[in-house]
Amino acid sequence: MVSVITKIGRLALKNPLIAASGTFGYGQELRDFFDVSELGAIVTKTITVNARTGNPAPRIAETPAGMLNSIGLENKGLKDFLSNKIKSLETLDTKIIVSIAGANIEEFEILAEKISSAGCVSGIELNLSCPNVIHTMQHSGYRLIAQDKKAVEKVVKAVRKRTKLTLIAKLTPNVTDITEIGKTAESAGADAVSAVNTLLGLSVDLKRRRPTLGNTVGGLSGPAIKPVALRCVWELAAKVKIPIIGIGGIMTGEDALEFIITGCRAVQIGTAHFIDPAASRKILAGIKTYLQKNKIHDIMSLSGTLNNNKDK
Amino acid sequence: MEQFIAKIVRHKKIAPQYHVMAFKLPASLKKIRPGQFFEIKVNDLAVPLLRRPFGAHKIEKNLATILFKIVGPATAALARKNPGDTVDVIGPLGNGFDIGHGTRTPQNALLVAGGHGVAPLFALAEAILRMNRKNKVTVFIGGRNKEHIISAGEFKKIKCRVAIATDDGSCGTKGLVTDVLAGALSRQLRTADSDAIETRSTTIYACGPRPMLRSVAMTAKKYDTPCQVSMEETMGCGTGICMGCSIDTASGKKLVCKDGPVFDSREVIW
Repeated sequence: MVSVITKIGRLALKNPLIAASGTFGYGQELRDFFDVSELGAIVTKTITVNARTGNPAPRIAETPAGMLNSIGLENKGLKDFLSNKIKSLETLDTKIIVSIAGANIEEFEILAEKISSAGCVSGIELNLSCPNVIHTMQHSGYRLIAQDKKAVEKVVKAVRKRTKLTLIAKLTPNVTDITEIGKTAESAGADAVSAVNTLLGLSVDLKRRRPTLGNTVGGLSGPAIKPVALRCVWELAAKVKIPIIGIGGIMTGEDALEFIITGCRAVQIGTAHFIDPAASRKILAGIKTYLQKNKIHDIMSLSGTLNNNKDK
Repeated sequence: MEQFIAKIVRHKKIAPQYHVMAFKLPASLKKIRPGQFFEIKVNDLAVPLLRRPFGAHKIEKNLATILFKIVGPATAALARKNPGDTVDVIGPLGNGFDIGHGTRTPQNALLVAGGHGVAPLFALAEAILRMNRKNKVTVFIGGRNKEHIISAGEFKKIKCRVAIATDDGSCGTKGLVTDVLAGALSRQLRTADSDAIETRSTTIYACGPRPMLRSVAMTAKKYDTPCQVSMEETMGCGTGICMGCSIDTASGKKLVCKDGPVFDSREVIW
C-alpha cells in the first residue's frame, strides 16, 4: 500500500490531484465520464461579483502541444453561484476550493465573506493572474494583479481578514521574478501558492493576417508550458515556506511526480480535462505505479527532493 | 455521451481533400440524432493536442460515419488512418436537429449546405425520409467549384432533390447557394406549385460557414419559414467545460457544443 494523501495548510486531501479552475466547471458537468470523488479537490470556475459575458469569439486557438484561451472569466456571478451552484457542490465527495476574482479590494472582500459562509467550501483560490482580464485596481501599469506586488499584498491581506478557509494565491508566470510575488503572498497571509496560471500568448491567422483569437491575446496552457511551470515551482520552492501547488501541462503520472519532486505538495490538472475528462484517474494510477515500482510508501516523502546538479 | 475507443471499419477518399470514415459504436451508446457530433482524438500525442468535432454523416446500428475535409494536421492525421486502426471518441455530443415526431414532421425540408456542411445533413435527410416517405427533401449544396461539391449523388440515391451552386459556375448555378434557396422559396410562394406543398410545412436546415448561415437566416425570416442552423465555432473540449465555443443569442451566451450545435436561426444574434 502506498499513501498518496497530502495537506495544503489545514486542508487534508485524499490525493494530490486537484482539478484546475475553468477546466472542470462546478464539478457536475463531467459526471458522465468521471466521478469527482476520485480527486483530492476541485477548484471551481472563477466567480466574480457580477455576471460576466466573457470575450468575443474565437476564444480557443490550438498551438504546438498547447492551446490559447481567451474566455475572459465568463460566469453567472456570485448570486447565481450561491443560489444554484453551491447545492450541487455540497453533494460532491471531494474538497471544494472556490476560485474568486474581484475588480477591486471590496469585491474580493465580498466574495471571500459570502463564500466562506457557504458551508461546503474548504478553500479559496485567489485568481490574481487571469491574463484575459485587465487589472484595474490601480493605475499601476501592470496588466495583472499577480504582477503587482503591492496589489497582491492588499488583496491577500484583505481576504485573509475575512476567511478562515485555506487561502491559495494563484500566481502568473508572466513576471520577472515569481518568488517576489510568492513571498509577498506568503507574508500577507496566504496558506499556499498555486503556480502557474497561463502564459500570455498570441496566435496569428496567416490567411486573414489577423490574430486568431477574438481578444487578440490569450493564455497558453498544455504540455508546451510544463518546463516554464516547473522552473517557476523550482524557484518558488527555494524562497517560500508555504505549500506550492504545481500547475502546467500535467498529462501523465510522471508529469505530476516531476512537479512534486521539484517542490509541490499537490498539483492541478487543467487542459488535460479538455482532451480526456477522466485524465486524473489515469494520472493517479500512473503515480501509484511509480510509487510501487520504486518502493516509496508516502508520496510526500518525494516532495522537494530534486537533486541539485552540483551535489555528488 | 460516452468516451470509447472506436475501431475504424471503413475509410474512403471521396474527392481530393474529402474523406468518409465509419467506426464502430459501443452497444451501450444512446441513439444518435442527426446534427449531433463526436469529438475525436486522432492520436495519443501532444500534437495535435485537442480533439476535433465531427458531425454524424450516416447513422446505422452500432456504426457511425463521418465526412471530413483535410483542413489541418488533425484531419490530415485522421485521413492517414486505415480500417482496423482505432481512435478515441467522445459522443454523441450536442442537441441535434429537431425534426418533430408523429405527424409533425417537416413535409417539405429544405437542406442548405456550404462545402462539407453536407456532413450532418445527409443523416438528417435519411431521418426525415424515414419518418414519412411522403416528406420531400431538397438539398441545396454550395461550394467554391465542382471539386467542393460533395455527396450530391448520395442525396439523389435516397430520392432527395438536389440543387447546386458554385462560385465559378463549374457545377450547377453560378453564384451563391443562398440565392438559389431564396429563388426556390420565392417560386414556391408564387405558385403553390405542382407538388402542392404548403409553405407552412416548410422547414429549412442549414450547415456551413457562418456568413452562409447568416444569409440563410435572413432568407428564412423574409419568407417567415422556420429555420434551424448548425453553428460552427472553435471548440476546446466539446463537453461544455472550457466555454470556448460561446455565441451570442437572444437568451444570452450559449455554447455551440452543449446548447447547440443546432439553434433556431431567430435565436442567434448574427
